Order: sequence, then structure tokens, then C-alpha cells
Amino acid sequence: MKYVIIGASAAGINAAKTLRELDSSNEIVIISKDNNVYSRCMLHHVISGNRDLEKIAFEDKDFFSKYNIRWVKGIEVIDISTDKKEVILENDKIEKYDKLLIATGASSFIPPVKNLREAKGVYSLRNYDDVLNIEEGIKKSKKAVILGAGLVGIDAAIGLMERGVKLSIVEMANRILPLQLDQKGADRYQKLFRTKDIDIYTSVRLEEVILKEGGFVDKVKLSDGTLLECDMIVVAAGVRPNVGFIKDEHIKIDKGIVIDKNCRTTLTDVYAAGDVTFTAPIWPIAVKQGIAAAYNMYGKEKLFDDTFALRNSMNFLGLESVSLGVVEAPYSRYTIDIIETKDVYKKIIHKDGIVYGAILIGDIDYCGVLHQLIKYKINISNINKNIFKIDYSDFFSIKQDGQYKYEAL
Amino acid sequence: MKRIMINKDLCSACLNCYMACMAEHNKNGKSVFDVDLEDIENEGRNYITIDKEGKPVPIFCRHCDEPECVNTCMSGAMTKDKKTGIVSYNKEKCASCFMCVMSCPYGVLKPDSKSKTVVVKCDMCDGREIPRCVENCPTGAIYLEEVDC
Amino acid sequence: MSKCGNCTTCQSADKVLEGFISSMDMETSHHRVESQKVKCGFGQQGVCCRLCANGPCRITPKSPRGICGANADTIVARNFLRAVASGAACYLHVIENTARNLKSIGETKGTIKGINALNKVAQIFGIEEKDMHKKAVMIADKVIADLYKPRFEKMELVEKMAYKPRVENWKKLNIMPGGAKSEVFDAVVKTSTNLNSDPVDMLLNCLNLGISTGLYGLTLTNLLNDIMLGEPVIRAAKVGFKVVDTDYINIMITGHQHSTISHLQDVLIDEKVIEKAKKAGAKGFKLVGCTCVGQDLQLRGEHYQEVFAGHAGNNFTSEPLIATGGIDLIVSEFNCTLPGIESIADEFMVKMICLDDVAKKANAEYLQYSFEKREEISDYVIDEAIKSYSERRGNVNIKGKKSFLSAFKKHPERKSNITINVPADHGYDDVITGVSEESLKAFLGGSWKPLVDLIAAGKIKGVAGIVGCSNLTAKGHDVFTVELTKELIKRDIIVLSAGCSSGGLENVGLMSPGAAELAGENLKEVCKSLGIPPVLNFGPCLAIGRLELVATELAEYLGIDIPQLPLVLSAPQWLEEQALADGAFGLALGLPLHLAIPPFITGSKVVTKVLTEDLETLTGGKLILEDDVIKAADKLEEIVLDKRRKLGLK
Repeated sequence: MKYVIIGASAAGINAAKTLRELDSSNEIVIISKDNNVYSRCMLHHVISGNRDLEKIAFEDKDFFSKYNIRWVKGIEVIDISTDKKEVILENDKIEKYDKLLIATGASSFIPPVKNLREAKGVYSLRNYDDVLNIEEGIKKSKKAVILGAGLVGIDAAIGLMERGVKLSIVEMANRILPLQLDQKGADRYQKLFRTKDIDIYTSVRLEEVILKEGGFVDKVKLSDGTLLECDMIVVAAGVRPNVGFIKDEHIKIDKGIVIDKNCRTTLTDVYAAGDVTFTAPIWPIAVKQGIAAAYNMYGKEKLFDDTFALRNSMNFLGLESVSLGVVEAPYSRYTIDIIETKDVYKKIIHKDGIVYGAILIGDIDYCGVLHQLIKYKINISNINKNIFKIDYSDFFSIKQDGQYKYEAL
Repeated sequence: MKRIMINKDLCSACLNCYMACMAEHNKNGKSVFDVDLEDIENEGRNYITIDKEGKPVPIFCRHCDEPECVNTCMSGAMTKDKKTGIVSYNKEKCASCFMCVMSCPYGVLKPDSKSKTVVVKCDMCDGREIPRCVENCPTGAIYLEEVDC
Repeated sequence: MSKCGNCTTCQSADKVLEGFISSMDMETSHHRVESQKVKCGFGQQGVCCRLCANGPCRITPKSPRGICGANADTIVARNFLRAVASGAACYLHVIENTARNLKSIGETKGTIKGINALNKVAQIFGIEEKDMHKKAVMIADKVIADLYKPRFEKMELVEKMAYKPRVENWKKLNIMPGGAKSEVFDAVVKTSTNLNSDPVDMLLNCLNLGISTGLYGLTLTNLLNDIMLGEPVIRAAKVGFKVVDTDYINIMITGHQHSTISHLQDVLIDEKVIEKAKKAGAKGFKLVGCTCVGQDLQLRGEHYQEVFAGHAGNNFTSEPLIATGGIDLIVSEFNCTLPGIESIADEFMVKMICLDDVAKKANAEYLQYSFEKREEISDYVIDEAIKSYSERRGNVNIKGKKSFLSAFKKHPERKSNITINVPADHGYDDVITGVSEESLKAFLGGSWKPLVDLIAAGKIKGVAGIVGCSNLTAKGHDVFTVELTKELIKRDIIVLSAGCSSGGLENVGLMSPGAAELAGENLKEVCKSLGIPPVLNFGPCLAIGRLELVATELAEYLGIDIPQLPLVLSAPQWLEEQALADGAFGLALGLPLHLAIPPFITGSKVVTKVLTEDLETLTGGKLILEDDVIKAADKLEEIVLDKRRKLGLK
């Protein structure tokens, strides 16, 4: 039995580790474009100078030898021959497989704004190479524009903040982090960014990139006419799954590779996990999909059913926050409870005993319980407590081996 | 592995476990007299809370068999040792993203009060023969038991 | 009653005692240390407040104030002042009764055994009266009047008794005490809910209470007792369990109020009374000392050689003492009368009579002592002792001793037989006792010069007062006390002791002349040439007042103030509130005071800082908290050396 995994990030690595824990003898191969194993969530710490490539690894250096995994690194997969059960590499080498896991992740998407795709000095923030390119860019830049104030865009801003480049953030929505925060929440962070002399432009689109000699970025024009001078642009406008190498129509692709609850694609013996499936582009889901896929590849049934994607924690500029579920009440029949003080903003959206969303800023202690309540729609009607004081004691249930559980589930 | 079992009916909220945890993880010394009770840097890794009936309930890290905190950790700071069963936190690796805090289904975790950069995580007293909290519970509400990893 | 089979008992410095206790069938305080070893950290740090229904509140980093707004400093200071007030109250109760007894003796023209003491006190008080009984009454009246003054009237005798430079210092700090009982009363008020929340005010109040504790509760009690019961005379005495002779009807006494048993102790050697004992089958009566009143009897042992068997041990020796089976009756009038003795007394069929309800045990018979009823009370005690002796010795099984009691009726219906097992190897025969400010000076030839010369020459580096209680938690029963004493004498620092700590030290031989071998070379030489041990026994904790008289006289002799003396104090195994009141006096006198266990103050930075640092600039006193024996000895030695340097001594 030979297991082949394409991709060496959250899903791929965890799948390989799990496979080895289940199957001590058969061959496991990881093929990756990456030359290193690192956490993409921490790339901005490399830009800021706080860490280097080694310090953003999420596994030990001896991972591959310890788990006896063969790593074909720095090589791109260009095709899969599904009837021959072969993976074709860019150097024309072949890797046969018995079970295949596609965990190739996603890549940054550059929107078709005028001159954006052609300009020099335009960067993404998705891979380590991007970081190296941005390093070069910083050397020649005094001003930078960050396109998109989602998580990646804000990360980019945090990374570049201390590098001596004047930053402007451009966001389509009426606030930064529009999927994670409401207006009041976003305002708290926007205020903090302003103290760092970072300009934020909301409710505007990027209309045009104006080039200078040599094809380099010179200015950007926004939809409201504003012109911003800049030497570099970091695009954080979304990602697209890396499925370009899949030509076989038997592998169904929708927003991403389509998988069932066992992480199986529509093709036998081919599995997929992580951002390439576009289930929800967050780390824990990639990890769990990788683990579930591994079990199923090994032959042990395991369901992946944690698709709850609306969850994020953030920690910028000394202010930590957690966002769960919806950030605004869908309509007026919902109850909204709020705590608002100088340092803390908390909002819980609920109806008829079910919590639908929560934003916690400045105090996220012990908030994991809210996550459970929202994810599993656990009814809290008969818990006669201030909603902000509800904690696990109200669901306390202990198994024989001492682990906790929720009775309701 | 040895897990700290909980019999919440015996808990009297005396907070001796909380006090002992602070003393064991205090950089000034391990005696209870070394704990500066006014310094917010001192905090217990586990805690006692009051349920909807007004009764005290110990909320202690379970060092779960399938730990959510480990699954969500994108820096490798949270790891599960399959042999000892202990879920460990390495604050040097941690990138302070607090996904673990958000993900622990039992709300066991929190950022540290002083700097809000590390996670306050039970380490089973780092190899001590008996965790300090268990040693100091006067009612036996928390006790050690051997379970399968 | 739970019998203890194989539980662990705490360590004791007295290994023979430790062995005896661990072999005991019954439970004592030594057995209970283990199950109580989990302490509440908030209590230990003094930050638990139980004053009101909104509580109990604790200070934690998450809850820095009680519900009323009290912070750690307020809560700790309140708890501390209340404890000091309680402790002061205890000692003031003793001096009040002592003074009233003296008054009664004066009024009824009773025996005055200490004429010198009478005249000395009269002189201090400025009383001129030829008739000794009238003098006694006048002395007593002055004391009583002071105790009963209202708070806003300063007590007269403070200025007469205390060292002038100290009085100046106290006046400057505005801590001269008003009527002692009223001061205690108001301290209780102050420390109640939502009243005083000023930690510094409360600490100064503690010093005020310390002064009345020290001068009245300690010093005057000693002096008035000397008048009524005789002055201390230095002599060698037997100590330990070996003092218990089962041929006698043994009455164990617990408490601090020696004058309460003054009639009893005299009448027990009356011919008619001895006859009664003989009829019951015993040779006579003996009083067995345990706790401070036993030390008082030992101190005055010269005058009570016939009736006093000896001091068996300190407070935590009382339970095993009863369990030897050799005690027939217990008379209690104050502390330490451990609740733990109730079950042991029951089991060993020992009758308990309580003469002051402040010390009543649940199964003791209460007979309120009054001077008027003293004869009745003594008669009753004697009859009960005989009754108890007869009943309980009837079924005895005396280990290793030929029974003297063959003419006894057996009680076949009684199921349990009492085993009498008095360890003959416990204790010492040659403990030097009877040391007081007068007797020591007399021993040195009538002046302090010889002692001062020895100190100046460096033969004796300095003086350490290792005083106070015995507890079971500073490394074990008397363990810290004994180890610290050994460390200090090794460093040529002579140790003066008073209180239950003396009970511990004498039972391990440190107060016998042979202990000189354990001292440093210089001190050893001095001790051997004088024939004294390096640790001197001043008696009960009341005698801490005597130590302070010695300090005052030395300071006067040298023309300096007390804080300048190369003198340090340690109450290493302090136990109770009275110890804290004593400690407050020591600090008011400007002395460094060491404790091994913090007195529940560390939760407050203000209180801790004031007592351990700032106080030095106020009274000269300093609290030293150190739970390591060597480090404590180092710190105390350093202070002694520092004081020597400042006096120009090498």
C-alpha cells in the first residue's frame, strides 16, 4: 500500500502524521511545491522581523525522519493520471499511488483591476516566496497600499507596520474585517490603526493602478476618485483553490474540490483536504480534514463533519478578539446583548435560546463554550444566568475516563 | 495517563486548588507565602465557577484524547504527547493567535491577564508527582486516576 | 472516641516524647497535624475576611477588594489588630485576677511571701506605707484602677514602670495606652465591619496594646505573684515525665494564673490533708506542672519543694502527659488547656475541674474561683482528687512498678483497665530554674557589670531571647526552637528563654549545665566557669516581662536606649494571639523580633513593610520573618554584631 499526499501544509502534514500513527509500515510520500514546512498564518511575523522561516514551522525539523515519510520537496505536480494511478511531476518523474490525497491549498487571487495584474511591485501574501518578494519591495518603497482588509490584509498591515513604509488599506466593505466584526468592533481596531499612522479607506473599490516608468506601481485610483501614491501594493483580495493541475473530469470541482463526509472526492481512492476543498479556509478545518482523510485512506471510517467556518480569533495591536457565527442579527426578531466599556466590547446575538453569533473584543477569557453553543445550536433557554456568564458549568457532564462532554450532543 | 478526576459535589469553592496552582507557577518561589495576591500575573490554570444553581464547579483542563486546542494550533505550540497523554503548551512557539482559546469546547483557556500574549494552560505541574491542586484539595473533589491514553 | 492505629505523628525535638506519642493508642494534637496539613492560602496570608454576611471575602488578583471595598491592607491589618487585642485581653485578664487576689490577701492580712518584691514594687509606684498589708492593697488598687480607666485616661503606671527613653518615644508616636481594658474594647470595635480601614492606624494601635500587655499583663503579673507566692530562687530541678510519681495523688495544673492555686498549693502539704491521701493509699499529693503555671511553680520551686513534683512539659505535652495514666485530676484556670485533653481525660478517667470559665472544657466541672471561697474550693478539689484516685487506680495495671495499691476494691463491671505507663527516661534532673531579673543579678554579684563585661569583651557576643509558645508546624514540636537555640549558642550568643519554648528546651537538656558543651568556645568557657547552661530558664511566658526588665536594667546601666542593646528576640514557634500581643510589646521596645511562621500578614504589602522595615524608624523595632533555621540564626547574629559595632565593641 502506497500513500501519496500532494501538499505539505496543515492538511497534508497532519494527514501524513495520522497515516503513520495508524499504519507503521507502508510507504507514505509527500510531494510539495513548498521547500519548507511552515505556517502560512505566521508569514506576517516574518515580514515584521519577529520570526524567521525556522520559527514559523509548526512541526519539528526531524518530522519526516521521525515519522518515516518520504518528502519530494520543491516540486510541482502537473498532472494526475487517474486510470494509471500516477502523479506526474514537473521534472517528468512519476509517483505511483494506491491512495492519493490532494491537499494543494489555494493561491492568492489578483482581481482584474486595470493594470493590477501587469504592474511591477504588486505582491500577494500566501507563500514564503511572497515574503521574500515583499522584502525586496520594501527596500524600494516608501508607501504601500494593501488591497483588502480581511484577515490576510490586516496581517499584511501588521507585518509591514514596523518596516518604515507608510500604509494605506483599501476595503470594499464599510469597515475593516467585515466578515469578522461589526461596525462598533471594527471601529475599535480602526482607531488603533490610526494611532500607528495607517490610513484606512472603506466603501471604496480599487479602480485603476497607475504605472510609472518601467511598469512599476506609481499611484492607485479609488472608486471615489481618491489618488494614493504608492510604491508597492499587497493584494489580499481572496484566494482560489490550486486545482489547475487537475484535468481529469472525474474529479468534481465546484468552489473547490468536492468531497463527501469522508473526504473522498468523486474519484475512487482520491481524497482531498484543506483549502483546496474550499469547505472553509481556516487552519483547524484543514487539520481535521487531513486527519479524517488519513483514517479513511487507511480504511478506518471517520467522518469529518465540523464545517462550522464562521469562527476566528484575532490579536492585533494589543487588542484580542474572537468572532463566532453571524456578526449582525439577520433581522429584528433577534435579541442582541451588549457589553460596552472603554476596553471591552462584547455582543451576543440569540433568539429563542439559540445563539447565532458573538463578537468578543478585549476579553475572550474562557469563550470556547460560546463556540460550542453556536456550532451545535445548543439551547440555553433554561439557563437562568446572565448570557455573558454562561460557561461550561451549566453543561457539566463527565465521562468515565474523566473527559468532559456535552449531554445535549 | 493520570487524569485529574472531578467530583463536583464535593467542591466547596475554597479555591485552595487555585491558590496552589498560583504558588506552583509563581516565578517568585513555590511557597504559598510567595504569592503576591495583588499581582494579576498570578493566575491559576484551572478555575472554579458557579453554575446556574449557584453551586461551585471545577473547570479543569482534561488533556483530552482528541484535543481541539492542538487541532487549531497553527504554530505547533500546543501538542499532545501520545505517551504521557499530556497536552503541552510551548510559549516560545506560540504566536498569540488565541485560536485555541476560542476552540476549547469547555472554555478552559484564556490569554494571560498581564500581557495578553500567552495562553494560561494546565501543564499537570510539569512532571510533579502529584499536581499541586490535587494535593491541596481538602475535600477530595479533585483526585488523580489512571486512564487509557 | 477514635483510636489511632497507624497514623503518622509530627516530629518533636524531644525524641523520647515523640516515641511515646507515636506508640499511643489515643489521638493527640501531634497526630492531627497530618490531616490538617492542607492549609487555606488566603488564611495564611491573612486576606480572608469573615466579618460580615457579604463574605467571606478573599483577596485574589481577580478580586482585589472585598465587597465593602476593603483591600488587602485593610483586611490584614484588621485581622492582626483583632488578634493582638485578643491576646492583650488574655494577659490583662490574668493581671486583673492577680491584682484582685493581691488586694484580697492584703485586706485579710494573709501571708506575703515576697517582701522584697513588695517593697520594690511600692517604690516603683511611689507608694509610701509601712504596713505591708496596707502596701499590698495600695499596690493592687493602683493596678486595678489603671486597668479599669476609660480609654481617654492614660494609665499612670506606664510612666513609672517603663524605661524613660521608651516612654518619650511612645509619647511621640502617640501610643501611650489609656485604660487597658477599654483599649481592648475599642480595638474590637475598630476592627469590626466598615469601621476602621486605615492599616497604619491599626498597626500603631497594636503597639499601644503591646505596651499594656507587656507592662501589666507580663511584668506586673510576675511582680505581684512574687509578692504573694515568693520570689524566684535559682536552683536545679527535675523536669519531664519522670517527675510523675504514681505513689502520689497527682494533680495536673494548666493555666497562667498562679495566684489562683495559692491556697491549694499550701494546703496540699497540710498534715490533715496528707492523712486523707494516706487513707486512700497514696503517700500524699503532688502538683504536676504543665503549661505556664507549671513554669511559675518551677520558677518558685524553692518555696514549693514538697508539693511541686516538677514541670513535666509544655502545652503540647499535656495530652501525652494525661495518657501516661499517672494524672488523677486536672485543675485548669487558663490556657493552654487543649480541647484535645477532653477525650483523653475521659478515657483515663481523669476528673477535670475548671476554676475560671474562660478555660472551661466541655466535660470539666466548673467551680468559679474567688478568694472568699478559696478554702471551700481547695477542699473540694482535694476530695475530688482522692475520689478520682481511688476509682481509677482500682483497676490499674502499672507498668514496671510494684503496685502500692493492694488494698483496693476492684471494679469488675468496668470493662477497660487503665494502663499507667510513665516513661521514667523522659526528662532531666539538673535543669537550672528560678532565673529572674533579681536572682540573675544576685548570682552575678548584685550588679550587671560582670555580664556587661563579658559582652564587651566578646566572650558573650550578645543576648537572644528565644521565647513564647510551642507549635507543631514550624518543622515540628519545638523543632525550630531547639535548632535555632543550638545555632545561636554555637555563635556565642547566650539564650534567655521564657514560655512553652522553655518547656521544650529544658526537656531536651539545653537548660542543664551539660549543654555548655554545645556552645561556641567562648560561651562554653563562660558557662563552665559559672556552672550554668548556655540557655537560661526564666519561666512562664509571663516572664518575657522579666527579660524586658533585664533589658531595661542593662540599657539603664549602659546609659543607652533598648534598641541599642546587642539583644535580639525570637518567638520562633509562636502559637497564639497572646504571642502576637507579646510581640507587639517587643516591637514597641524597639527590639528585633523573629518569627518562623508569618503572623498572617504577608497578603498586605503595607502591613508587611511597616512591620519589617518602616517600624525601625518609628520605635526601633523590626519584624523578621524567616522559616529557615540557619538563615534566621545568620540574620539574628548579624543584628547582634551590628549593634556591637554601633556601640564601639569589636
